[in-house]
Amino acid sequence: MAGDLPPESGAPPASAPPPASKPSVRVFQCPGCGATLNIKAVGQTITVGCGSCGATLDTSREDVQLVEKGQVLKRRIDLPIGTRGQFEGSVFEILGVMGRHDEASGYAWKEYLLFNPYQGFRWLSEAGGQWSYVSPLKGVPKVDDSISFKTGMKPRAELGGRTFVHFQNSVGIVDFVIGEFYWRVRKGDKSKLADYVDPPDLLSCETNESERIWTRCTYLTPEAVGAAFRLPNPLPYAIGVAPNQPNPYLERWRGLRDTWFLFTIAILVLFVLHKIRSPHQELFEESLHYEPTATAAEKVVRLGPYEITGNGNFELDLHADLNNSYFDADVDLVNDSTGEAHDMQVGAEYWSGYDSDGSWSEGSTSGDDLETGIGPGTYHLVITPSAANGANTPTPVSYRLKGVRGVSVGSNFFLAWLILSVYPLFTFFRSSAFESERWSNSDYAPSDSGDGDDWSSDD
Amino acid sequence: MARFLCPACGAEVPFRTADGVTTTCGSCGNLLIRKDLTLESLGKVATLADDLTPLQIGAVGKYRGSGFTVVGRSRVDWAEGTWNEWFVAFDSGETGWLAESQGNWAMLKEVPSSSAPKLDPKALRPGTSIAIGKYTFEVEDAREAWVAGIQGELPKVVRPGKKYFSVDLTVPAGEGGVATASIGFPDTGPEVYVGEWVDFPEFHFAGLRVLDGW
Repeated sequence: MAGDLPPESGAPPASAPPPASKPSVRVFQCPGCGATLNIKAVGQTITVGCGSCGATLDTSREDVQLVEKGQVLKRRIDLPIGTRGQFEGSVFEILGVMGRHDEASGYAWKEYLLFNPYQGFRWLSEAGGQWSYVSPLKGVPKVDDSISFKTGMKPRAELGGRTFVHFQNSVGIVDFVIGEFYWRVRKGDKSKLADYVDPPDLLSCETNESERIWTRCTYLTPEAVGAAFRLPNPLPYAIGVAPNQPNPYLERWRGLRDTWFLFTIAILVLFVLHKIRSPHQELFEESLHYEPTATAAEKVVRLGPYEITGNGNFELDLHADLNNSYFDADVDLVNDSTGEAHDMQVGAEYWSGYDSDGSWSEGSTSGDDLETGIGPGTYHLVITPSAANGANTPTPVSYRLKGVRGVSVGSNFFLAWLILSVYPLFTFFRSSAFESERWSNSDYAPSDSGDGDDWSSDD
Repeated sequence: MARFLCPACGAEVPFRTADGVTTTCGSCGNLLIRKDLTLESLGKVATLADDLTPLQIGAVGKYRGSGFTVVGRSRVDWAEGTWNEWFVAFDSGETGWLAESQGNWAMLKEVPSSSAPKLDPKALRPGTSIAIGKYTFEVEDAREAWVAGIQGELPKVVRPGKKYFSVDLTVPAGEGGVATASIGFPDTGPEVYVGEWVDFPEFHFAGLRVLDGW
């Protein structure tokens, strides 16, 4: 090899032509079925799952050993071994695929081993059509196992300034291995998994007797995986919500939240300002009496004239001395110069009594009516009242009428707030529903407390 | 660079580092040990089985602005896998180790035994915390390992096949320039190495192996 060393003189070593070295693919016969198999990651691969007979082989030594006979698999493998795809700007080849399931729930998933000799190993994991791109973590997150049922605080893992919340613990059991793997693996192998989420990433800690391996799993859509491998046909649809699936509504809600909050504040401020600035000018308050025995002409009351200035609304407030009776008044607000009449109505009814449940009452002794678009001018009111008791017999009623110019109306503001809040609140509720679905698959699902929750029994 | 002649075949054998103690003869494959001004042959070493690593002896790279040359390699096996330890000579005269494990790369330098912590290998389990220098490390894995083969120049006499206890450590909650450490417990006493994980492209290697199809 000494001859391959770059010259020690000042010549830049980079100019030395790269020695051509052809890495040989290691070829051997499967001891189980005789099929010709090959190893791409020569020197790294120590387990091979035969794709023909399903046998698991130990290839760590020159003579390949049969670890376990297998069965021909009739499973759907979305990404065949040897397929190449592009990730993080590099080409990766699928070396192997491993099927696993969770011991407690039976939840099954597949892991595809990706290899690039310059970049090392990566994974793609797939469950229910949901994909993640998995890369080894160089550091170890700081795990805080403290929990609080009161505040709902879950164990979490801190890494790179981000907090990942504990999602679930599980025990992964290997169902099958096809292709090559850089560690010893066989059907039935168990390892403990602890997952922490901060979408679109999930940190997974896998522990067995001799190792603890942290990986980062980044959510991928089936479309993104298909595009990375340039698959001719689309991958199956994703089912449900993946633990690390970004919540599209949450992003939208976060985008709206501040605006919505500011808008709510602004509406409140405007409402208060409007309330303060509304003239709320009392034009008159008259005590009147309705006498049913009077003639029709006598019953009609004429009030005014009143000078109304500026633009705005006009409110008529009624308070009537009612006792098991009702009072109604048709009011014409007439502009003296134009003769234009605004038709207004005020009424109230009040009923009370005593029954087996005790005393009761319903209705109110007051009422009001609001008329908008009242321009400045001189006005008078023409009031035609009527009143009756429970037997619909006309009855005398004393009442007061108050006329107010420029009343502040809060309902307009509330209506505006409601209309402009529909979309933000809809987004918020969709976001909450999405999170509920995500967490329904976790150890913290509200319905299955105590089912497979082994996070605290860490031995 | 010191130049010697192979006592077995007469080929010229260079030593690139002052730390280099042994090397393998590029011509005849004998394991040679440096004795003052001459070399002594310890006999042939088994040829290193080919593996699909992009690195090779003679490759040059940069680490934190300093150029280095890959001068030797020790391939380490354990029950469940394998890794490479590449011995590198910096232009400054310093030496270091470039650890390659399943496509992850870390540059490490040996901590002088005077400032290395006193450790009992039996007490080191995954999760155990150890302070080395300014960092508090956590044991990632602890296992028995052995050198499967060597190539080129190395700063110590390595006996292939001899088992020793090997511990890998890391610093929790770090990311980006994450500190890592490795402790070996050969019979000659603990060897402590501290360094950091580095993304392969950051080394800007030249003279890498040309891998067909990649």
